[in-house]
Amino acid sequence: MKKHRFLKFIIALVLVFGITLMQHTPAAVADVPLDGAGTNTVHIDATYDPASRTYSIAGMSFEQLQAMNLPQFDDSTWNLLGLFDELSVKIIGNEIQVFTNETKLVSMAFDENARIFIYDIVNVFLEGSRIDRSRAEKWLDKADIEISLRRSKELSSPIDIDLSTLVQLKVNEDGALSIEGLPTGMAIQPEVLEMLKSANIENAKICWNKGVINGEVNGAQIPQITIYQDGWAIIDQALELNVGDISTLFDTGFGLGLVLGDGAPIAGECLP
Amino acid sequence: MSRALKAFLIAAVVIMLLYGVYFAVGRPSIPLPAIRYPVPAGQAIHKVIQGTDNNELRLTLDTKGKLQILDADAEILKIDYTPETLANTIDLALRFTPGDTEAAYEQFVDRYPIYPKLTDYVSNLFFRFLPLRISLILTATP
Repeated sequence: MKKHRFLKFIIALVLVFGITLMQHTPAAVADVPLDGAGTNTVHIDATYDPASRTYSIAGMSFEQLQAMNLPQFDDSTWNLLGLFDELSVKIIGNEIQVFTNETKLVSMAFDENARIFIYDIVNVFLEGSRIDRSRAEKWLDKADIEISLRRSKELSSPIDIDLSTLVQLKVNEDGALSIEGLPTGMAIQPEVLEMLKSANIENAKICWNKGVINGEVNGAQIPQITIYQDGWAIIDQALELNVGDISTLFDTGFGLGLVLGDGAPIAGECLP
Repeated sequence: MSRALKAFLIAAVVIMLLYGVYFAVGRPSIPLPAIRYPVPAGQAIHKVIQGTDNNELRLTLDTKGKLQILDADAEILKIDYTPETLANTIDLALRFTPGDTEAAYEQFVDRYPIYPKLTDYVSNLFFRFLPLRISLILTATP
């Protein structure tokens, strides 16, 4: 009798622990988010000093900008800039707003008709290609764009980019690369193209969010990679990559949807 | 009940109890002794090690799903994986390997179909039930 009770007790214990252990915790890896209500934020800050005739854009000094062959303004431009302490342009939803010295100067509708008008103007400058209107609408629907000019001797703030809409890259059969349907005139190397084809890569999705990379290849999720800013400096220095200062990149978020051949654009978004 | 069965059941209960306690405290990864490996000059990783503060690079694999590359006190790179994403990566790597590696692997799997199930089982065992922490310390030889 005593033996039977002991046996029942042991079986009960084994069952309880067995069931408990089966309920393992889920993996602590974030999924690539597919849908959501993110925004396409682009905030560009620029400062200028009419006295010294220097300016700074997106956190870059005048010297850095000069090294990039950005032009020096003429007298009339400096005189015009001298009239304002602050000037900002914002595109939010269906409206363009212009502020000067924190006062709303102009507000313009940026509705469908206005956008079509702008697409038509841009199409004139695009030789042999046209803006993909549905893609452009996708971008602008979630747009939060702000360009601000400030009269100051200070260095401007770094650019703030956070794009939830994927930038669509397409590689044609001949390797020609297009971005959002617009040809870039660039092509990937034939060896790389051949490698991608032989590996049957049809599409890929890469999301960069302040150093964290989430990705999918042919719809299959790959591990999440986190690159640390200090760590990147060590790799850059050791391998003599000379990439330079990419600290701004560690404050940005964006995603790429790569399609090879005639595949459909990658769906979904990148969300933080 | 035979003595052997009784001993087996008691051992099972003790193991279950111990694992229950281990589970209750959050299944911390069990650290294994670190392995030191001196990297000779001339290899690409040698320069990276020399770029660190204390001439040492630590690679830590936590089978709970984390691979870290660390400097003395700073993280350089981290990879978070699940058995599923790991399998996807291995599949992807096989596609990119030159030559007949993928075909040879497929032939091997056709011959031993239990192999993918076995690797999946091992991966899940150490990911979900018995996580281990394995460290490899790379030092640059002068």
